Amino acid sequence: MKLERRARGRWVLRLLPQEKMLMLAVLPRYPLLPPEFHRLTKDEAHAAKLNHASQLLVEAHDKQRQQHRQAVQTFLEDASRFTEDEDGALLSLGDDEVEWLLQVLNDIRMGSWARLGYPQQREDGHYQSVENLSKKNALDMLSIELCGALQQQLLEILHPTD
Amino acid sequence: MAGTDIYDALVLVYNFSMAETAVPLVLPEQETRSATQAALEPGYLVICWDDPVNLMDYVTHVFMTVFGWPQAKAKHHMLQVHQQGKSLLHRAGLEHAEHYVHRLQSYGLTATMERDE
Repeated sequence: MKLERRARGRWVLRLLPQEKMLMLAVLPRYPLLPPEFHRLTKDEAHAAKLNHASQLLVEAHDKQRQQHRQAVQTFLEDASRFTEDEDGALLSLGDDEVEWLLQVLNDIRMGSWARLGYPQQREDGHYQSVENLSKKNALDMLSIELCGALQQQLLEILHPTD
Repeated sequence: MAGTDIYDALVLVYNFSMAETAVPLVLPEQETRSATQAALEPGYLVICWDDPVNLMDYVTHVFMTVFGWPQAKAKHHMLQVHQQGKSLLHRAGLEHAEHYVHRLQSYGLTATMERDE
């Protein structure tokens, strides 16, 4: 994925056919991160005093998940979102949509990590060894790598001097 | 952003519930003002904790987006998270601390608010 051009406040991205296919394959997995993953505080003694705020936070996250899920659905159903040519596809996104896509990809990446049991990153950069690959965890292992790659490409477009 | 809209609603609900719990018979204006001030005074630390899955560039980007920091400052805090296990991002009152924790968590970062003691 590369920046084709920045036009009228929108990011026009060029995707290889494989990148488009993988993006469309992984997005339907949203949401994946368990709602109970986030806590307002680590201070158990103080947590009870923040009960009301914690509940509001849970509700706010839940509402956001619903909005993002709807946005994913709309994105996947919008055939005009991608413009095809002989080199692949062009994807046009506004600033808000880029942030949304980053958040959704990160949720799938983190949710896949959670489904694998919150493993530490290995020295080779992966979260599971190839020997442990199975039908049960293959999709999660792939999603971690794929979402991370798409996120990194988007971030390099947003911050090209990094 | 959707996250900001959600937080605006959250703050409205929170303020409404605070007003509901104020005691009206004893110096109502002073009581309400005092409660509001207490909520706004710096008393909480917004902390981001390390995890093995969020990308370093992503964490930097989120700090820039949520706090409006320049890239160098955002990267400094990202490296603190990565190397020291956590970074103190902000001191704030209850409401602002909740706001920042919500924004950071909405991006998937492991953020909490802890009492500033």
